[in-house]
Amino acid sequence: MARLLHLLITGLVGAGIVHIAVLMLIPSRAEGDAFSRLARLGPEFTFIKASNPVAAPVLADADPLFAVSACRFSLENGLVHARASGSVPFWSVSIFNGNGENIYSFNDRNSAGGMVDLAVGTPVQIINLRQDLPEEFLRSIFVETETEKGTIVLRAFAPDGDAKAAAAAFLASAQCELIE
Amino acid sequence: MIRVLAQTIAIVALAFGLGIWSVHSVLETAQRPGSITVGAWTAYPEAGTPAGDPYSKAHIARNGELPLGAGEGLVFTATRDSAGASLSGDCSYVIEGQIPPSRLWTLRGNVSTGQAADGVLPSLLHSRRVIYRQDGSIRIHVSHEAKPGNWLHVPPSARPAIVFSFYDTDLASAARAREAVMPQILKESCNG
Repeated sequence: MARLLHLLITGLVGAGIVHIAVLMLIPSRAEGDAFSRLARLGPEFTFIKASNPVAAPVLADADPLFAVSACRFSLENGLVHARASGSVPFWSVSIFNGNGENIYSFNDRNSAGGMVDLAVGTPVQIINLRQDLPEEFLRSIFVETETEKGTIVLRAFAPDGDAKAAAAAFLASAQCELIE
Repeated sequence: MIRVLAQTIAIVALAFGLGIWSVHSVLETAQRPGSITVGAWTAYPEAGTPAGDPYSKAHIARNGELPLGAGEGLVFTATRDSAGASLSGDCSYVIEGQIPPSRLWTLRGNVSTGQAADGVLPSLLHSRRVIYRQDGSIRIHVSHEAKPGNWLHVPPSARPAIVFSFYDTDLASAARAREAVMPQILKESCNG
């Protein structure tokens, strides 16, 4: 009886360890996560359409009333400058770091002139850029990240006909440029 | 010898079986750790941020989600009505009351992207597509049968969830989200 109890307790402690180990491993091992899915759709430094009303959606939780594009970047060779413009009723941007964490987000009300204009880089890259700020960065929002890789996600409200066309044009205008 | 071997196998089987099953079951529950609850509604204001809990991180990675950031908005989901009963596809509900301040909101059943995006039935509502009451509150019917007034169509047999997304809102921190004023979900009638 004591032996059985001992067996049970050892098993439960082991289950606890396995529980924590599995939980911690899922984010790095998952192949169906948004960033792996985006990586299969296209290269870095390009905005890729992530909302597709016909085929299976890339993003599991995406709001069907939004059009979404995402650009994966790598800061190894320089920082990234993302821009988009157009007239949509609402847009928002999220920046995810290499660990898949949302480090910064804003919407059209927080940006100069209602345009997307942001630069993402490591703290050193941002300091260097600011020391001699090129003209095209005058209105940019600067975002610093310690991780080398990341993703910029652009969402535009696209409820119906005209707004859908406007959102598509807005996302089509989006550029994701490597600045060396 | 054989006895020791058998015991070891039993312990390992128990550890792995229970360990993996428990992670799976926590990730599938409607209220994972890190959730905040307002009436019938559940939200995860910190999911996806560096402050997010490990369960949210695992859930997001496994399901392929890109959660909204604090500057974008916050999503509330309900799988039960305000009386605490599970939502049923055979029943009609009314969402009634004040909603939190936001520049834009959308309301949908648990239709996946693509489904019903261009549908004939109003399965996706948003802030510019409903009639508000005098005091700015809303009253929206949720049903698979057509209703007068504001009507959100949900498929009849599905296991429904109601997803209420608020964009450009100051709710997106955990403390603010807890104080949100969310509408009630009231059961109206059921078929069969």
